[in-house]
Amino acid sequence: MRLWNIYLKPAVHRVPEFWSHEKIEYIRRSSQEGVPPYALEEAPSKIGRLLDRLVFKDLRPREVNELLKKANGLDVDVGLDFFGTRLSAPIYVGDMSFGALSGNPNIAIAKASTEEGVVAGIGEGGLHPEVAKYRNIVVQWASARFGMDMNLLRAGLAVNIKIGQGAKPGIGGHLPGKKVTKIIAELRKIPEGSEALSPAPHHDIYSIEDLAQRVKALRDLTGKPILVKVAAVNKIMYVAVGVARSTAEGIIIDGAGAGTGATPISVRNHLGIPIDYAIPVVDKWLRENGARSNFLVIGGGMLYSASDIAKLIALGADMANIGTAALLSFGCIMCHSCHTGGCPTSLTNMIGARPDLDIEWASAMLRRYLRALRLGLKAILYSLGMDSLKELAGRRDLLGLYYADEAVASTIGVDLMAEGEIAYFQEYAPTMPREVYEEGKVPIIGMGGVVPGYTYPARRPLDLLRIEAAQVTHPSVDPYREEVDVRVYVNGFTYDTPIVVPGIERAAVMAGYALGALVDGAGCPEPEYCLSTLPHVRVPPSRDIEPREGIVVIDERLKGDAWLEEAVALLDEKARQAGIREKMTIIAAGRFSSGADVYKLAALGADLVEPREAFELLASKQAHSYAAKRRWYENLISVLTKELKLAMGAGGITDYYHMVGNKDLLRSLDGRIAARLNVPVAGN
Amino acid sequence: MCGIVGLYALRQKVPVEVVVKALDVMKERGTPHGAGLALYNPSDKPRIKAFTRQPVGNRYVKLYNDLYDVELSELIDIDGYIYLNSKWIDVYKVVGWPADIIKTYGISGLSSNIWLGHTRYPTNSPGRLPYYSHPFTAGDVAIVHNGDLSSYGSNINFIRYRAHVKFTGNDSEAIAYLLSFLVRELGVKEAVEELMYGRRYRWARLDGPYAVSFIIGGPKPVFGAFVDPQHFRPLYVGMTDSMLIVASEAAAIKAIEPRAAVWALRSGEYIIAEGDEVHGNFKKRYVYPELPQPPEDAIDASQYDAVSLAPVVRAELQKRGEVKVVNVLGHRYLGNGMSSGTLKVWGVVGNASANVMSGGVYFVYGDVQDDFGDAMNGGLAAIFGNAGDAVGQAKRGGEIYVYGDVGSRAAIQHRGGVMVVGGSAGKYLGEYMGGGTVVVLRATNNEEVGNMIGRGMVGGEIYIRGEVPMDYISPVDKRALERYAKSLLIDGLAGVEDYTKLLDGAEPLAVEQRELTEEEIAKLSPYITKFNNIFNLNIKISRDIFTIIRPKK
Repeated sequence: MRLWNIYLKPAVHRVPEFWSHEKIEYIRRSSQEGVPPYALEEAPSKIGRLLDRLVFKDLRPREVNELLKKANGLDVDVGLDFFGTRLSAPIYVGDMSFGALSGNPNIAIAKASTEEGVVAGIGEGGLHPEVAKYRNIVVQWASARFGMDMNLLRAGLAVNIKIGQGAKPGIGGHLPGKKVTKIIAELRKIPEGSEALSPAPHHDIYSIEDLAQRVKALRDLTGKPILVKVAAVNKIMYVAVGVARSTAEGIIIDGAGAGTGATPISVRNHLGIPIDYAIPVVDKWLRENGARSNFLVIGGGMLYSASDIAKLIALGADMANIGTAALLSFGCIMCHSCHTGGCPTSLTNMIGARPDLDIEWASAMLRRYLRALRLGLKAILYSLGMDSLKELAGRRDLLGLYYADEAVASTIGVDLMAEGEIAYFQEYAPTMPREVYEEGKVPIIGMGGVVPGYTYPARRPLDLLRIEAAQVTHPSVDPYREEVDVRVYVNGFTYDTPIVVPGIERAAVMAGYALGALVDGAGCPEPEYCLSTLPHVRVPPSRDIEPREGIVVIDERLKGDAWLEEAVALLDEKARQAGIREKMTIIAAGRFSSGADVYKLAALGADLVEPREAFELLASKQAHSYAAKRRWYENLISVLTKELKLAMGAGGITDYYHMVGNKDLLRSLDGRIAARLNVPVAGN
Repeated sequence: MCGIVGLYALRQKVPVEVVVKALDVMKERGTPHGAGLALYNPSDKPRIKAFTRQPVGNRYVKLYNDLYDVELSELIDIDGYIYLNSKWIDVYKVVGWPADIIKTYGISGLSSNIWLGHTRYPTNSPGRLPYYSHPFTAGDVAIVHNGDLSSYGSNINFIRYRAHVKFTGNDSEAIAYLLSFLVRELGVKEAVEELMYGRRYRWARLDGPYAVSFIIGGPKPVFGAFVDPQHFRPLYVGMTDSMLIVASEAAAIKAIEPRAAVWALRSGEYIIAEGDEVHGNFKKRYVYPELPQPPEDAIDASQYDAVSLAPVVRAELQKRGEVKVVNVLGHRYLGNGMSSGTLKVWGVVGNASANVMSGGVYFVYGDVQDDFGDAMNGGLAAIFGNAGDAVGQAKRGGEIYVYGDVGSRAAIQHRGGVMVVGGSAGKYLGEYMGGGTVVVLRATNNEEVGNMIGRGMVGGEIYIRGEVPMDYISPVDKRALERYAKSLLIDGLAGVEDYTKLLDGAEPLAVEQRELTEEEIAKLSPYITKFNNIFNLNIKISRDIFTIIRPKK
């Protein structure tokens, strides 16, 4: 039978994202040649990750890159001790489960990792017998306990308690019954064809002391070191200190932009913070709390180069988690269709639907890639005059940050070399997937790489804000099965959603009424549902709006001299100071289109939010009948509400009013935007 | 975060040592990063206590480094943090273990009728300063809290312009201020209800996990406790004729008063004591069978701490095949990984026991705390008492029999085997259930099962004796659905008769309320017989109405 062992051309994206053709090319060349194209970039970048803007102050990239040719002979040790097993490089190939990947990729990863002397996490899909043959693996205890038994727990070098992942912090998983084929069912120990749900939190871990209980229970049961995998959420420093105190031997932190098999787009793009913000503050907090020594810190999320790994270690990590890049080394083309089962490169497809991945080829590619990363690291370490990795850990003083603001630089504890802005803006038209309006389904996507304003252009300041998710310290809530209340009250009347529907046409008005939303327009069957019948004022966004009792609509269409974001935040604050906030209703109307945007504006201070852009996009589409059009609007309202609830549930918020004006739920990646909105910078 | 205890004694004063002993039983819930006590202790004039970097006046205790605990004679502006200002309440806080409180402040023998105690597992603030140790006070209100509020930001917004004080940034402190404000406005009962369910004030309700115990000082002090509506945190109640005790673990209550009737508060319940009255929305549920006498030749659990008994039991099981343990008081992980043999245990079994159990027989003469039987895939466990939350989580084989009640989220992700409950069950029974059979007999305790039954259920079946109200099972918001149907009618898109179809389509579960069929009786009988034999009962399942819940095909 034919096996799959070739590279296809990478996918082309409408809006540029992190996994560009250049980066894929870096990985492919490394995988083919066993040497990276370069160890350090020539110069810091003006846009992109902090890692792209960081330099080793005392190194000249050209000289370091020259060293690559003879890096193999350099007498520097880039390995480390992983609980009694000596690794050749500080690399953890992370936690891609059988089920998310289609079997042969899992085997290739375990094989290459063991043979090359790094370590691989096997994820939560049970222990594949072919994977079990390899020594350097880490098994996982996840919320669904798939395939859990003593045989699984006894395998591998360590046990990893999976609390969350960067691509969907605080969100559970769902493998549809049709994908639970015979072999997947056997390994997960569930009936074939059954729906495989993973709850968002572990229902025995609602707090740090609960985590400690599970850590000790697993240690008691296995005698092995215990790692805890979490997403880099806004308050990651508390999580990390808590994990260290739980007696776990280490933490795996997965940053925003990290890859996955399937996640709601609005969650992937807006929750959690990037790894280069998270690691330095985690390292600092652990040190201040006396919890850093003998505690392994592994960081991941959009990492691919030797330079990334070296900088992340200097920022405070011990090891790097490579996931997406490993898949890219043996063929991923970043087409974002993992969740469809139709992967064109035999990585995440339904088993049997395509030729199987060639394990020998794939593991050889990954081995050469890992070797290339090791050589790059050697060259960097040698140039720094260091003999071993240990000397580099936490050396933030060696780094300099270009093109950022002082608030960000001081947060991560690195010298600012040149002023600039993290945020970068670019105009592009939003799209609305068909499943949103035709089926009322929250759009799902595979893979990561999209962090607006950071690795992907932002369209407005709102995009730079990151939403909080819960990990360990309190539980997230599953809005599909548990109570997340988004009802809002205006003048004693109850609306079922805080989304205001622009009354563009009758179909929209009736859809809003049908779903219990306030309609910004006229013609509702019951007058309370139409804003036209309620006393209100409509003002442009400005810094000078005076608080007053009643309904205030801040409408972007009226232009104005301030960001809508800013006007909402200021008015909310002023009204609280004046003691009249509870007698006011603030409605924010403007150019934005997702449930995550609704969340952010609510957290800035809006009681209700009108995402005009989403509705206008739909208004411009032709439907074949009034009924169909109305259905589309209903589906849109329902999807926006679901996206909002997903984000709320991820943070463990069960009542909408707990987010209104709760800026503590937001962090900004950009210092200037943070200051104007009175929101903390990420990492604080 | 943390372990809490609260105590209200009508007739006798209880010495500090007893409270510390209860906290010590919950050592696994704490760290050396904070502990504290509050007690009802009236005085002629306000006690004002603060932490400062410099000694102030002559009444102070040097803590460590350059930190002092000072008592001020009047409210003055100081460079420090005032943590108490009340005539009725006294508070002691340390960075350390509970026993360090007595040592640090030399309060051995101090006694009171009302106590709060706390051992801390810091979550959102550093564990280096006693500022962040509980209890927190706001005026005459003192609280201890186990949890982590997701509503902290909005709660602080609510009180920031009402309390005008310096906050440490700790979420538990916010609870003290909210309670103090609400008690003034609404009285104690309404204040507690507002915190848990409120709609009167937009931003005063608490969200996320919390279990709280409080004292409200005054000539007639009020004591109370409440737990969040999701039951994300445990809170047990113990009662005797003259004493009310609340604690994060049943074992802690038993440590104070071995004879107390102990039960778990359910989601969203509260209990308040004033004078000799106890009131609240709680239900007393105290369900125990006759227990056999503990044997002489058993392992004595009191010789081991909460985590070191499990490996001893495991080794003995392997060696001898039959093990008996007595005096178990919150010892964890007992019987984890068990694959054969017989284990018999007397006392309160601690959290996360019988996990990944694959065979053998496990009898518990007493209660089990949370997460018993997690990832169990074979064997038999019988509990001669009650079970805490998430019993049988992700269980895919084997049998669990519980004489009394089970807590919240019983049989969550249950995928196989059988669970038979003699009493009742808390909220979220059978959440995410994927297979197997769960029977709730409501025989030893005929209380209604909590709501949110079968949320996300995709397989298996639940049998509950009696007619469970449909809105305890259905996730459908009928009011919203009716409005939707009306909107279709207005647009001429559907007729009146379509409402039933709409309603039916929205229901994810197939629910029947009827007598069991012969086939069902035949299927369940062997397990009911076993249940009856184990607990020496004679419960029958024929000719009673059952509510039968299955996912729709």
